[in-house]
Amino acid sequence: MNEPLFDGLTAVSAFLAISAVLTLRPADPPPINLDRIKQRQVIGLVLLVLSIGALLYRWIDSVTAFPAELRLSLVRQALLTAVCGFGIAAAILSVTATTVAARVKSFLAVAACGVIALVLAAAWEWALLWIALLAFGVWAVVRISRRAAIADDAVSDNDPRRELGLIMFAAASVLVVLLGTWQHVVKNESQRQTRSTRYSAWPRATALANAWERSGWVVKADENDSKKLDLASAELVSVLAAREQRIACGLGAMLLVVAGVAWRQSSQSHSKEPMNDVSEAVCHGS
Amino acid sequence: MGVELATWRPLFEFSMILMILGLTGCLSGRDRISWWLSQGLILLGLILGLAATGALHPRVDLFSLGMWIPLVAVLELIVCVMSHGSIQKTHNASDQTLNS
Repeated sequence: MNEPLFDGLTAVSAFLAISAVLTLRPADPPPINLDRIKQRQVIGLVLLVLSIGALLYRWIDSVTAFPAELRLSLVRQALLTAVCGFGIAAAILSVTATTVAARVKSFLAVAACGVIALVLAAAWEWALLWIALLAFGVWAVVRISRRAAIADDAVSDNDPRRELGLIMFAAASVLVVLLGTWQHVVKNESQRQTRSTRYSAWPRATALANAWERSGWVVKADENDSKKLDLASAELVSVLAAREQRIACGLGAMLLVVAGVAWRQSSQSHSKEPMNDVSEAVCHGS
Repeated sequence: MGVELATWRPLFEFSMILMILGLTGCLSGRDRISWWLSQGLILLGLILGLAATGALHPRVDLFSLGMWIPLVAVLELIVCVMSHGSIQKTHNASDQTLNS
């Protein structure tokens, strides 16, 4: 019943996913031997199937561990699982696809799956925030690509068309963010029972301190003697802190492995680059 | 919390995979588009994770907290865009100087 958020099976699944992605990524430069390419693809697909199998086992196990009457809307849950599954598949493709166009399309599919998942989770404010950020990000990438593509003479800061596009995108993004904030405030501010100044549904700079205070992780004082701490509260906080510490340690170890593998790959690719740098320097010099 | 965790576990796993793929792509990417896409994956993973955590802990107001993180990311993006533009101009200017 009390399954941890992050356990050994999750770690195995994540490691397998990373290995599959790194194996399926197109090598640079591509190997000439076709048998080697096929071998890498087969190994990558096997790792991918194992990773998704572990994920599916975790999902099904956690859902079926509860009696039917306790489960929340099975259809919604199934839809959420399906959308997240598609999203994961698209995310893997967005990293492993051979062409840039395929990677961008896969990323857009991931973004769509993310929005649908947030809508299914009834997290409208987060969905609107993500849409606003996505619009801004797409605009930024397009703008950078255009600026890089055209010559410096043609770039003018007073170009009226580009400024209009900037204003339109910024206004749309701000509007969507405000809609998300407004929805969040309407949902939470009206339910406020007290007039405490500590909590407000509006985003504030003290949000971290407010969230920490309301998380129940603060040890309460004893009712009889305010100088002493409540033992039950202290025990609960220590249990919660220990659990979160384990999760943090697991995630940290996983990130270290990811960073190590990536660093090794990048150092290998850098070791092949000096020849190119020398040739570029020769070209510039000539 | 167990029921909620079982309900929102797909969202958590999705978020975790997105973060891992984003970091992997960011650290091992070989072209600019891959870097941008990995940034998007990391940001989406962050937002999904915060949304799922918010569903698990309804008493804690995470949107007020989480909204600052994407805002910081947007600011970083703006700085990237501006610095890239200035770098591009400097690069072009130095090219022109070399050519002349």
